[in-house]
Amino acid sequence: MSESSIEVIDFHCHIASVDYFPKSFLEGMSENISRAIGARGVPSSSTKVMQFIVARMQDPLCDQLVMEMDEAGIHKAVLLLPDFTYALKDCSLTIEEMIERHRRVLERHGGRFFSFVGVDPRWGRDGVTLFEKAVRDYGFRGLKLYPPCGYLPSDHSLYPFYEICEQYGLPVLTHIGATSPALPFEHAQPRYVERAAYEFPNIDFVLAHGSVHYAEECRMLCSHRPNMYMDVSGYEIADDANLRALFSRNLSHKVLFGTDWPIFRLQGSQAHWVRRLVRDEGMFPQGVLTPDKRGFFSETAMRLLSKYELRRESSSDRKRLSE
Amino acid sequence: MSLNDEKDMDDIQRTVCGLFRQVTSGASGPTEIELSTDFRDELGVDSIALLSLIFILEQRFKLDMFALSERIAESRVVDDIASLVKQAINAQQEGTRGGSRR
Repeated sequence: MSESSIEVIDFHCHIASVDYFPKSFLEGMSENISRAIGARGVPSSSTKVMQFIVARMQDPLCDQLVMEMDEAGIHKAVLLLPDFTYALKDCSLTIEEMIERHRRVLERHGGRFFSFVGVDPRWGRDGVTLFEKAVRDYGFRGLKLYPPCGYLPSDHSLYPFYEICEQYGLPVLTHIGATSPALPFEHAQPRYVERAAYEFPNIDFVLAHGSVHYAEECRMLCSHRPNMYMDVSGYEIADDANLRALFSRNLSHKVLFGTDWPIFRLQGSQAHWVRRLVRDEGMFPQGVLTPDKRGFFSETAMRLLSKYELRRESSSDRKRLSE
Repeated sequence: MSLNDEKDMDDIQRTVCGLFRQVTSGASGPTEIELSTDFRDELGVDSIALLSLIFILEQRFKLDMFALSERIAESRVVDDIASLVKQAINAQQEGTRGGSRR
């Protein structure tokens, strides 16, 4: 399969800007990296590591990301906006302001991005209203959950959000596994998504980093629960065997390509990461068919993202018939 | 570039090649590290290894390499890092001369 023949949708990106990540979140990451460097016998400083991380997060309008997407042959990407503002109080913007800035990015690069918005369920009724406004008026196309902020994906406080997702045909993408040490990891296990997926069979649930964290459990859930999927973001630094296992177990139709931009910018460009997957045939075991590869790189993503349009069309058809 | 500059650059390039060998020891990759070696694709340098290298370079050359964070992250081959070290040394020397003139 030639590189040019593959359409690529990156299902997992963030805007590279410190505006969307609390200071304590980045400090936690920096401290962890600094300790790993120190363990190699190299004197390090978490302040300087943070300086390095921040230097790679200076693309608030996504102009650099679009350039890198063009270079890498990535046609479209999903920008995820997790809501840290309830759990961590050192955010520079409110969630309303973050939503507004994402909306401007969507407009600026018409057609290149989809965006999923996160609203912490503990904001209550105001949060539900804000989420619906973001979907209805601003064009957001999914719900982003960040359970390490302190809630479970199957908590009933999220059900009003899921009802909106069901109504509009929107997918739910939830973070799985470890994150910045500034937050606890315990809520970010795939098993906590399963109840919600069972209760809302018409919503597609995506386990972010599913080939990296709790990989075996994610494979089991995606294999047996029809509306559960996973993205592979984090593959950049994970064991290739996990990725290969997905394709050798006929799970290609449940797996989405994603890079987690800008997290791995230090290690390489978007072109580098796409090249690695496309060129390294070892990632795809023998017998994986070209349609499966197309599904992984774009077609499954488009299937999940196009339910919104289908739902909208059928709702206007119903309206026309009733008139 | 004067003869001394060239000698300095050779020393820097050798040092940087040696440091890449140090921070990637144990990783799979070519045994020979050349200036044209792509340190991510060919040496598998990850963020921990890259940052380790920067901290060592700072210490070795008494430089503020983190001021060059953006350009370091955009670098691809070993020689890119060597050139940045050389530029940082030159900038520091210029600064010292400028400071002593005042």
